[in-house]
Amino acid sequence: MLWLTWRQHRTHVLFAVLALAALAAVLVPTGRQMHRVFVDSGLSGCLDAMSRAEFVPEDATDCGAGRFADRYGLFGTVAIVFAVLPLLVGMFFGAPLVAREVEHGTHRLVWTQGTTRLRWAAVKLSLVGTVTLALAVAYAELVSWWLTPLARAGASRFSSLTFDVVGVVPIGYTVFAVAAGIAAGTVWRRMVPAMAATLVAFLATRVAVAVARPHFLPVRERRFPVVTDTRPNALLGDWLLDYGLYAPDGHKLRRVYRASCAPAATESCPYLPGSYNLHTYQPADRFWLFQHIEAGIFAALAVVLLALAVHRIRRRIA
Amino acid sequence: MTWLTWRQHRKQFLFAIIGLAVLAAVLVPTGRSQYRAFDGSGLAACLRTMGETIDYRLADTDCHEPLERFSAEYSGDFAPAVLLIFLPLLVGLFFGAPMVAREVERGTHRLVWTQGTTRLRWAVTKFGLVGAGALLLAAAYAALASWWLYPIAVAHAGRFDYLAFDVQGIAPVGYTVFTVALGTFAGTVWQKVLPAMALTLVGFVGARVAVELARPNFLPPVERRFPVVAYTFPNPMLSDWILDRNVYDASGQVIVPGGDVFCDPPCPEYDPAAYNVHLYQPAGRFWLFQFIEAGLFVALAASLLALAVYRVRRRIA
Repeated sequence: MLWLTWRQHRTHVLFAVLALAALAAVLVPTGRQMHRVFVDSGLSGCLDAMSRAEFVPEDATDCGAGRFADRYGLFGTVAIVFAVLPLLVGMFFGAPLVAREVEHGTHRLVWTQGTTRLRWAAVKLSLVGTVTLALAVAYAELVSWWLTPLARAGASRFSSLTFDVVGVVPIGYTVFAVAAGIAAGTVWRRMVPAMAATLVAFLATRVAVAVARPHFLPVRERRFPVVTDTRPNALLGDWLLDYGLYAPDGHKLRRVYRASCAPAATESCPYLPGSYNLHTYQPADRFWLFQHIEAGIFAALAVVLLALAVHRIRRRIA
Repeated sequence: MTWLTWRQHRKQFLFAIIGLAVLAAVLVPTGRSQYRAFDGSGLAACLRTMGETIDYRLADTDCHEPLERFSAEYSGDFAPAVLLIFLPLLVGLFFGAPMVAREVERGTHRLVWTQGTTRLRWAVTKFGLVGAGALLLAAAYAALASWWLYPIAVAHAGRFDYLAFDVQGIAPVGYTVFTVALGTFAGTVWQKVLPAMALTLVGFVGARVAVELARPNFLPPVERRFPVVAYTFPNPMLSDWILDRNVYDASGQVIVPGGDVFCDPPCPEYDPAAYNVHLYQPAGRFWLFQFIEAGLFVALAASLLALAVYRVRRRIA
C-alpha cells in the first residue's frame, strides 16, 4: 500500500519539488539582495531603535523606510500572488486523491485485495498529508524570510495579504485546501467537479475568515489630543483598523488619520478645544497570536473535513 | 454536434456565470462607492487638470490632499485586485484542459467519430463554441475589472504598473484565449485531465512571467533628465510607467541608486550639476502596450489551436 501510494503520487511530488525549486531560484537571490540593502542602508538598525516609543516627535525620521518600501514595492505585489499557492496544492493534490481512483474504478481493485478501506484511506491520507505539510512548511518559511525586510519597512505585517503569505497561516491554508479537496472527491467522485468544489470552498472560507480576522481579539484604542507636537509612531507596525477626529462630546467629526495643531499655534487651531484623535488597532505584538489563531481555525476545519472524508470512504463509496 | 457540445459544457457555463455574478455582486457596489469618493474628493478633477503639465512645483495646487483621503479609504483594495490575474488561469484549467482530455480519457470521442462526424468538424465545433463562451466570459470580467480598478490604479502607481496592467483593458481577454488554447492543446498531448491541467498551469505561469519581464522593452523606453537642485520636478501624476530612477553627479557617476532627489535651491547637500534620470514608458502608450500584449497572446493561442487541431486529426486514436 505504501509502494502503491508512492507510485501513484510520485509525479505529483516531483512536480511540486520542481516548482518549489523554481520558486527558491527566484526568491533566494532577490531576497539576499533585499536583505543586504535593508541592513547596509542602516534601515534595520534604525527600525530596531525607532520602533519602541508609542509617540514620536513630529520631525522624527522614518529611517528611510518609505523609500525602501517604494523601491521594493513590486516585491510586495508579487508576494500577493503567493496567496494562491495553498489553493493550487489543494486542487492538484487533494481533489484527485479519492476522486481519480473512484472515477477510474481503481479503488475496487485495492479493496478486493485484502486492504481494508480504513487502511487504504489512512495510508493515502497520511502519506499525501505529510508530503504536503513538508512542502507547505518549506514555502511558508521561504516566503516569510523573503518578505521580512519589506514587511518591517512597510505599513505592517498585518496588512492586507502580507499576513496571508507569511508565518504559519500558509501551512494552515494548505492543510485545509488539501482536506477540502479530499472531502470534495468523496462527495462528487469526479475530478473536475471535485477541483471546482475545492476552489469554491477555499475562496469562501478564506474570505469569511479574513473578514472576521480584525475581531479575533478585542481591538485596542489609542486616543491622543489634537494639540500636540508628537505623532503616533508609524513604525510600530500596529494594524490600524479605524481612525477619526472626535469632538469633545465623543461624536465623530471626520475620518482623518490625524488632525493636529502645534502647541505654539493653539490660537489659530480650527478644532474645538478638547477634540481628540482616536485610532483603533490590533497591536503589532499580537502578530503571532493572530497567526496561530488563524492557522488553528483552518487546521480544525481540515480535521473535520478529513473525518468526513474517512466516513464517506468507509460507508458511502461503492 | 452543437447540441452535444452545449450539453457537455452547460454545467461549466452555469458555474462560470454564477462566479461572474458573485464577482459583480462584490465589485459593483464597492466600485460605485469608490467612484463616488474618486469624484467627490475632487481627485478625479484634480488628476484631469494636473495630468497634463510636465513641470511641477511642490507649491502648486497638487492632488496630494484628495489623494491621501482617497488612498486612506481604498488603497487596501489594490491587493485583492491583483488576485484577478488568476481568472484567465481558472478558465483555462476548467474549460480548456478537459475539452479534449476528458473525452479521450474516457473514450467518448470514439463514439462521436464513428457516427459520421469528422474529426475536423468535431474539433472545430468544440473549440469554436467553448472558445466563444470563454471569450464572452473574459470580455465580461475584463470590462468589470477595468472599470473597478481604474480609480485605485490611478491613485496607486498608475494603470501601467506591473500587475495593474494585467487585469485591465484587453490583456485579460488575450490571456484567457491563450490559456484555453493551451489547455486544449495540452489535452491532445497528454490525453488525461489532470496532467493536462498541470501543463496548463505551468504553461500559463511560464508564458505570463516571460512576457511580464519582456513588457518594459516592447518599445524603447524614454529617458527624462532633470536637475536635482531646482524648483520644479516632473509631475508625479502623469501616470508614466517609471522603469528605473537614479541620481547622477556632474561626472556621470550614480550617487543615489534606485531613487530620485528633489531639492529647492539653495541646496548645500547636492552639487547643482547633479541630475535625476528616469527611464519610463509614457502613460500615452497604455493602449498600444495593451494591444501588443493581447496580440502576442492571441498569436500564441492561434498556433496552439492549430497544433491541437492537427493532433486531433492525426495523432489521437
